[in-house]
Amino acid sequence: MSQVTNKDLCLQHEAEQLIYREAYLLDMRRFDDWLDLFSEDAEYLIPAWVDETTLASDPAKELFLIYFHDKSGLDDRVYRIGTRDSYASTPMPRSAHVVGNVLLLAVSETTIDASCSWTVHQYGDRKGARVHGGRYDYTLRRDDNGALKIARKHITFLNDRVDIPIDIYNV
Amino acid sequence: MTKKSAIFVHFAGDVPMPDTSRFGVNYAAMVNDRAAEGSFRIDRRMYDDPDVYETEMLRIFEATWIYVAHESQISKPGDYFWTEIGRQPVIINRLDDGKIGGLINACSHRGALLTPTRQGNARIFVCRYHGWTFKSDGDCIRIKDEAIGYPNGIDKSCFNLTPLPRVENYKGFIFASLNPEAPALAEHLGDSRPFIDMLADQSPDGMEVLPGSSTYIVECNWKLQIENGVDGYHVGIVHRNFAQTVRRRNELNNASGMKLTENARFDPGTVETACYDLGHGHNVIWSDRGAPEAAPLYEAKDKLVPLVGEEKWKWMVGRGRNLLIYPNVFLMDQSSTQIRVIRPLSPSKTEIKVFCIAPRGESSEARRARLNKFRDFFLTSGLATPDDSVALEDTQAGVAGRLAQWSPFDRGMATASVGADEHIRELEIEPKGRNTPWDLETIFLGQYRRWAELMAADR
Repeated sequence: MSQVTNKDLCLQHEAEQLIYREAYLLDMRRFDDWLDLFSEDAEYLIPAWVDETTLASDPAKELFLIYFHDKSGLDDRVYRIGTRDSYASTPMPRSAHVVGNVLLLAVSETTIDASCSWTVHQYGDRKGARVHGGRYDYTLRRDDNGALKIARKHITFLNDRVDIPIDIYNV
Repeated sequence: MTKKSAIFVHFAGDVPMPDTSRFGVNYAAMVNDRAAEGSFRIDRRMYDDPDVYETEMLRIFEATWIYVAHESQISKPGDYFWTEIGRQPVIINRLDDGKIGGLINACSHRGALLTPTRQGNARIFVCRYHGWTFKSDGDCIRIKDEAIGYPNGIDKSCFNLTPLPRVENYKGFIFASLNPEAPALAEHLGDSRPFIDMLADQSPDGMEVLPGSSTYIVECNWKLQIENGVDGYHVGIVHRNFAQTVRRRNELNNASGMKLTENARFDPGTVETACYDLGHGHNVIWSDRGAPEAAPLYEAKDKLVPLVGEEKWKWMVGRGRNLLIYPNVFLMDQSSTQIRVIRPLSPSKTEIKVFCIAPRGESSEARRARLNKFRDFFLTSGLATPDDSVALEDTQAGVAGRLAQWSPFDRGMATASVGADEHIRELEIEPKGRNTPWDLETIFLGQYRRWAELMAADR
């Protein structure tokens, strides 16, 4: 393995801070602040499973649980939750996102590809405690001001037989 | 047996019911059918009683026709699909001669499942426990160490897999029954057939199930699920926030054509709607679409109208439809097109498996729009289905309130009638009940009369 440089450590730290902040803002239900972490063209994907080992890969041809080609899809979700008129989201379950094993897979001048594993502990009065997990694959990209934003978030959800409604706040 | 009868015998209501059950339990009396006097109600214990559930498995799910798969999911010889009928695991597969086969998914030796995956291709099934081997039609062709175990020889056909008594295909939709006495599938489907055709005939090249499916579990009784799919009444309440969200989105994006999210059905009274009880428990509800051009199918007009005629085209593209084929499948053609399969897991737990079905050969824009609209509404990760699921779970929790025993289904009785109206005259069907608007509840009489009929059977 090549020598670890200060730049490597800084990038690792910067990527992790963004990823952890995202999890924190979701748990705190600060959805407007959460939206600010994403670039305007951010892609957000949760593929369905095609079979026991294969995830769907093309949202134009295969089933995805969630696919937004830009941030407006996330904005719809936040708006809907904000209506306080969604049966499933009112009251909202409590959650704790735990993100770990943050591995930087590729780094360029402006982007970082990072992969990590996640679990979400959820508790609601009706369904009790539930735990789900999977993998996040991020593309983080620096905007014109140098700020790192989420340009792509690909969520692998391990269960393909789920016992809770899935929304942006519990994956 | 005495325990069972002790629970139920005392609430026969005012309607004398013949006791036809071999257990001596009059389940049919849980449907208090006094429609002639303007009253119809059901005993909520049917939603969570374990004895009711076991009897439903026997007399409904393992006695009538159950939707199992779409033929596009087993297109090549050897393709198989593992699913369940009632409590029993089954294999539906494409045989070497192109016919569709059905087997109980259990090795004849010890009973292990024969399929490593939910879907796959296998010209032979090799049991992974002791290695017994079967042809795709179930014939036993190899017993490991046969000569040692049976030195005097053995007729292996004694160990063939157990075939499903009935498997039939209606326009690509495959149904099976564990009951050899079940009527012909066409007879069972009856007046639901024209509504199946409205989906099945959307492409001259046939329909296909798209890759990927979603399975979710709702903690409610299966009957609450099948009510919900043809319940027009909840739409304006539970999905009010869906309508609000997509209305805002349409405005923000200045959406038109297929990018538009059609939402007229969420505003009661703005478009024409109706509901029909089609007999055998089957129901359909429909609503005119406010913007037919938003439908992914709209592009196929020139191709389809000469094939299906103006009237059927109007049904296909102009009206959103939810069709329940009792007891376990919905064919939904709303903003997108869905096969929704209902599988009871316990009295208070139901599995729902959803598939997107699409016309073969549609444009990539239409396919993309179809999937967009599908994710929007139909998934447990969408903007609408989660709200249904949680409403149903609250209902399940509420029916435990034993002192409140009855659910009424008499809203709309004053306007209910039978037979065809002007909308369906050309379909040549005779609904057992009809009403308008679609949120009136008289079609549920069809579901619960069918339930009572099947639950009174001697099985």
